Amino acid sequence: MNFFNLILWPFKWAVSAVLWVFHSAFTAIGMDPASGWTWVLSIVGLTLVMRTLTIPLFMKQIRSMRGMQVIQPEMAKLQAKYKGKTDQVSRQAMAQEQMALYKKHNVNPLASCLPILAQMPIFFGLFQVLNGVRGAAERDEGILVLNAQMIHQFNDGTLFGAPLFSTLRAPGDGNHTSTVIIAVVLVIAMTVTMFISQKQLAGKNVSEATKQSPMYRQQQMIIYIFPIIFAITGINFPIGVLIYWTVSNLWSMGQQYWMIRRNPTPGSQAERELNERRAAKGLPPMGKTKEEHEAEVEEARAKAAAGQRQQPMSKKRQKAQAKKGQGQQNQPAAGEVVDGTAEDVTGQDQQVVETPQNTSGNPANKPRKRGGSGSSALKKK
Amino acid sequence: MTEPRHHHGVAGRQHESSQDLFDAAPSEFVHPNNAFQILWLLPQNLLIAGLKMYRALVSPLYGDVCKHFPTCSAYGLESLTRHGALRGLGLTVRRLLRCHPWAAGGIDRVPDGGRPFTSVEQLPKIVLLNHPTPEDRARLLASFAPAASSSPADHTTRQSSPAEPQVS
Repeated sequence: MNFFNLILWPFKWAVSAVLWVFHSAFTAIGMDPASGWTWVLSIVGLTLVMRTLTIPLFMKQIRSMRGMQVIQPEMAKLQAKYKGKTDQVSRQAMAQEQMALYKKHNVNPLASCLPILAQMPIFFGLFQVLNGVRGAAERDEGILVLNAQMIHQFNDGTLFGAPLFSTLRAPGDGNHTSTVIIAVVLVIAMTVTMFISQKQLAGKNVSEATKQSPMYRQQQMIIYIFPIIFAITGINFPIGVLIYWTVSNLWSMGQQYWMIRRNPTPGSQAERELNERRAAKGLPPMGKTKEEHEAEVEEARAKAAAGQRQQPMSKKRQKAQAKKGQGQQNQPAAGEVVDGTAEDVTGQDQQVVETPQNTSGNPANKPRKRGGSGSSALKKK
Repeated sequence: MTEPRHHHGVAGRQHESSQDLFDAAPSEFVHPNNAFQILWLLPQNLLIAGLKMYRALVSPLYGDVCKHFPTCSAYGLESLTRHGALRGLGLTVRRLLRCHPWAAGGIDRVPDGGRPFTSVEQLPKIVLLNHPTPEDRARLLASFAPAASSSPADHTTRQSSPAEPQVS
């Protein structure tokens, strides 16, 4: 037994024990112990148990996300400071300052690395158990808690005539057409669920600042590469493993959906959508009390009534005006009343074409006076 | 008001050179000088290669997860690069054990020491990423210098050298 197997042993044991419990329970309520469906349901049950165990960690993260609202103004400043600086080292400098900010306010919205790493032996343990069923059946052995008879039932179980442990490459002695159809459908389901949770859902839950970073672009590329990797490796996966993976991805998808709808990242598209839904119901935006929100709306109204209304204008004109006016241009009082104008302080002396940004997410009320543009012009050239 | 603006200025000047500095930076791998070293450095270089692959392929899938700066994988890569296979691995494992959901997180750097570097240009890519500001790099390089040398002098020579060619 090598080192790797020694570490995996307890995880394999747990996996086989959970499978045994589910199989016995389903048999007890009158299901056929040798039926493929009983075993498929046991695998689904196992997946659900595994994912349920990670819920406390997930909830811990949700709770720590709430503290983020407190540091929103400072985060917006930080984002404005690094706006347009998209090279890797600058993004790292921003990440470093961001981390110092979290520490200062004793908040940390990140999930931490250990749970992800801990999931790996669980998955490998499960994979080894499921992948080992066929071999164990041939050798007439049991796998840990599951005895030889159960392993035989497991191995002989079929789904529409397709053996549970047949793969696309080795369809076994069952119904080959059935195996091919089921395996292909599962590989596609597995890939699509993964793609949706990564691309559709996670894409919405990313702040505009993160979207500029090279890491994000790399991540987007990987999201397209992984389906290909899955499709290729999928031909070697037994149907039983594919079922586990698909159910697990479905769970992640649901969990992501719930989190993004209820607890979106500040400054992301998901947060804007949530605030729109809340506005429709007459609720204040996330993280603000009703009074705060009303005060802001009132202030905006007073400002509009007081005199010239701030006309919406293009970024180009804003820059021209800002250059002309330097000091005397309006300082937005509340910061978010006139979106866009406050944002462009850093951008005005930059020739680089800016990435189009939706500014409503990050108010970025810069306390810096316009006189500062002299020094920022210096630093650019 | 002056304090943050000054800081902004430094970061801005840094921006012009940081990408070039990063592009020109050497890789993390340790280059052997003789046949014996090829074998001796093999574990370190293999671990570095593995971690680089993990960072390229697996890390992006999870998005931002780590509670620290540098992230666990960046910390691991830097500690393997600077401190070698054995100590690097030990440091990485200990960091991972620190990165749990109840940890406070924050800035947590690889300890000083290990493979010495004398100039910014020598710093491998991961060390640059983990020391993103000129101040961070100056501090790191000063830690390698003999105790007698004063760090401010060090700071200025290094500051001017990478920045100069970049001034348009």
